[in-house]
Amino acid sequence: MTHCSRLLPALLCMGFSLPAMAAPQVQVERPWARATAPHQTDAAVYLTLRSPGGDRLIGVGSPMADHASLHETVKENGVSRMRDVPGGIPLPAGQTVTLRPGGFHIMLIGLHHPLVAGQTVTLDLSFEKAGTVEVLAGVEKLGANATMQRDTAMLGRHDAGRRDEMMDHGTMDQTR
Amino acid sequence: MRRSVVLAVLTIAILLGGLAVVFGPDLLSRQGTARIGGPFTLSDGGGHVVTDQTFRGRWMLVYFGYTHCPDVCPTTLTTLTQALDALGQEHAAHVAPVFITVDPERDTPEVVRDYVHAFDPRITGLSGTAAQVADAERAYRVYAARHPTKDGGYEMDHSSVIYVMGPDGDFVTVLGDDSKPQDIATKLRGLGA
Repeated sequence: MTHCSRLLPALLCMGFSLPAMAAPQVQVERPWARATAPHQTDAAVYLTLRSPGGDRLIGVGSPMADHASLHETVKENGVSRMRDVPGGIPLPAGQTVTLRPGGFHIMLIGLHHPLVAGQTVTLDLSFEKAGTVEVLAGVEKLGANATMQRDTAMLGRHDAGRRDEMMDHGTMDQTR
Repeated sequence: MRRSVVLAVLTIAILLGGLAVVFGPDLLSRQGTARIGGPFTLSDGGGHVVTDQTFRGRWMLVYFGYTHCPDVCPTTLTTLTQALDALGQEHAAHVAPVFITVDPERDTPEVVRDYVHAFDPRITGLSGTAAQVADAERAYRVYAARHPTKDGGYEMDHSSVIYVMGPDGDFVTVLGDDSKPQDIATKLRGLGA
């Protein structure tokens, strides 16, 4: 970015600085889980994702359960099955992808403690490009259902804290 | 000669077809011969034996699931809870949501009772021996099978629909597990609940 005196190189110089603004990032909105019922050791967490440049959610972890994985509820001829999502969940560029009851969801297996309304669940989401993002999901009391209450309205926007650890401005890839 | 045979065959065929059209539907829906539903003997968490007869006089909403189910079952139980609320107290008193486990090994009657009551105490949770549960599944033509998971445990693949049974115990209709509570309430009110 030093000798950008002539027009063409100037444009190229500007081009090389653009990746900083287009660093891969994922917007995480409205992460939530239901409180667990007695004897319930597994729980689902739902949220909405959007990646302007396109990405893929490839893994999930949580310190609050023995295991965490990506699942999809698949319904066929009235039979419901839950399946792993081995390739991860694709996030086409600019599209909103919602993990919701009856569809994709994060499954926590072997909760260390029951989920109580008002608490938060800590999740680490791993993205192919964006890296690891920590998410805090709010726990709602039993009776909540995303498809009925939420849809597009953000109830008070408490998509709690998240650290975007992947904003790597330092190493601009000049070969792009 | 051949033509008259053909005509005779055609006539008989048309007559038989006509009879099928006229009488067929009756044969298929004989009163008292439920093709879905029927007798079952299970246990609730309070140590009581519960059968299909327990619910006579009320509309049953029967749903098969299991407590290790993180997504579909809590969602459907929530829906049933909200459908009861949408019905209002008077009509809801005529409706009995019944949750039957497909996983009797992990879901004892007490476990199922505690689980469903966290959603709504008006939901009855039932379990039993493996044979009793299998009988109930067979009566409702429910598919249920274990699917092993990475952590060494298992999930259950299972039929996930809500069976609506009338006060006489006969099958009325099925509702999808993604039915909206208001629609379920409207449907039940329309049926006379």
